[in-house]
Amino acid sequence: MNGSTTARMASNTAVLPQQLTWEQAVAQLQGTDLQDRYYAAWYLGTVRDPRGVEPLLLALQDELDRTALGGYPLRRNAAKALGQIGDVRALPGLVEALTCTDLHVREEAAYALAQLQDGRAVDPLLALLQAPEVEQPWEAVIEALGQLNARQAEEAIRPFLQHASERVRSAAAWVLYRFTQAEALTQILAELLAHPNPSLRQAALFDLAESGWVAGAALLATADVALNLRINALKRLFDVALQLGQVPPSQVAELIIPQLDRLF
Amino acid sequence: MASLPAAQVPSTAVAQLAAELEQATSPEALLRVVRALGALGQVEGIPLLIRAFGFNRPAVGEAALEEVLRFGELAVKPLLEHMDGFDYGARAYSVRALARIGHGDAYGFLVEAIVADFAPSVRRAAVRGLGRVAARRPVSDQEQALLLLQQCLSDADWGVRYAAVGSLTDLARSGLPELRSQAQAGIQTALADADRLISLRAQMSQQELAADP
Repeated sequence: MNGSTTARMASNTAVLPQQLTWEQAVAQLQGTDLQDRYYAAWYLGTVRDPRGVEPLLLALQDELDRTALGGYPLRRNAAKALGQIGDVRALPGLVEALTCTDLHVREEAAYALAQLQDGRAVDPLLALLQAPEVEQPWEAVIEALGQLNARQAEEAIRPFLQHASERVRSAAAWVLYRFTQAEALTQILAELLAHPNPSLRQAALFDLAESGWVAGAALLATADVALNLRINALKRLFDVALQLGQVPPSQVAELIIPQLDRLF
Repeated sequence: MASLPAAQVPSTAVAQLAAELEQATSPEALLRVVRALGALGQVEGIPLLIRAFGFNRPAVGEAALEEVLRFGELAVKPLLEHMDGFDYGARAYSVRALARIGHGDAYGFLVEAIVADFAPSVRRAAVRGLGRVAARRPVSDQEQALLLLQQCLSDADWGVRYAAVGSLTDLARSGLPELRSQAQAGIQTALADADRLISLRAQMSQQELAADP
């Protein structure tokens, strides 16, 4: 196929997607070329056509595309695409993917389950946290439980506030803040927002936004992070706070709009 | 300016700070030089502050913006002359400065940026400043700005719509009285925006304008 070179480039770089029809993408996904299959899985996620669920669920069980270390690249992309499509028919397959030997497949499956917004994912995700002897994609699992509003996970998440990884601590802090609104958690978020490492500051910026802590708006506005990210984080904080509904919209607006205005 | 009689001495000071800015490696050192340039109050230092917008250190950029704003309208000419055509991050800070200062000379640049700049952060800042800047221009420019801001209310970027509400508020408040009702009609339109942030911002604007008839 004439476009296959383009497809190979597109699978691992940020160039614009090759224009495939949905049928072509499914045919590629079910073909034999590993690069084409990998690209097609990603492509079907961007298209978000629910007809992609069946072929992607098959790709989620693929045995052919393996890395030297035993990873499953196609499964990772398939899980991610199923999350983007957001169809609950993918739930059983994604729950099964949480037991895959490839940690990155488990990670993508956790994020995808968060996007399906179906409470049936809570127990299997929670089970991963409760067997801490196995290395898990902790940040993804904790964030998924947060996005699913799984308040029963509170006690299982709490120990991760002491985790060695800042990213994991930060995830635990925003999720627990959403559940409890305990002031002490905001300190963890604020400290990470002032971290010397710029990529951690950036992660902390959006974790604070996810927490829904509206009084933290001033910290978002003044963080040492690129302007457009600060603006987008304030917007996300606004959307989260409105969705959580703990603070009346007029009060959310009063806290966030003045901070946003100083960035424009 | 008060410092005019002693122009010779401060120029040396600016040169000194320019050298320090060149040598600074840590964000703390950059911040110190930026603050010193602002405190010095010499217009020759403004281009150096504008350069600091492009250091890719947001905290330094924000400090430089504050210091540039202390110069008020004196900063408009250097801002327009030293606009960074390559680094849109730096350009956004310059446009924010022009938007805050609100001098009529920035009008043409802002209109061009709204229509043609590819960077959302630059467009948003330009939209935000247009009302304030246009209010200092003749009636035909105010009318054109009003039209452009009304178009911005249906932009795909929420940030442009958000900025347009604030900008229309400025135009309603400080522009020609005969345009006020049209600017208010734009804000009225924004009340129905599907994005709650935009509608709440419009509500705030209406309250502000009602309190300032």
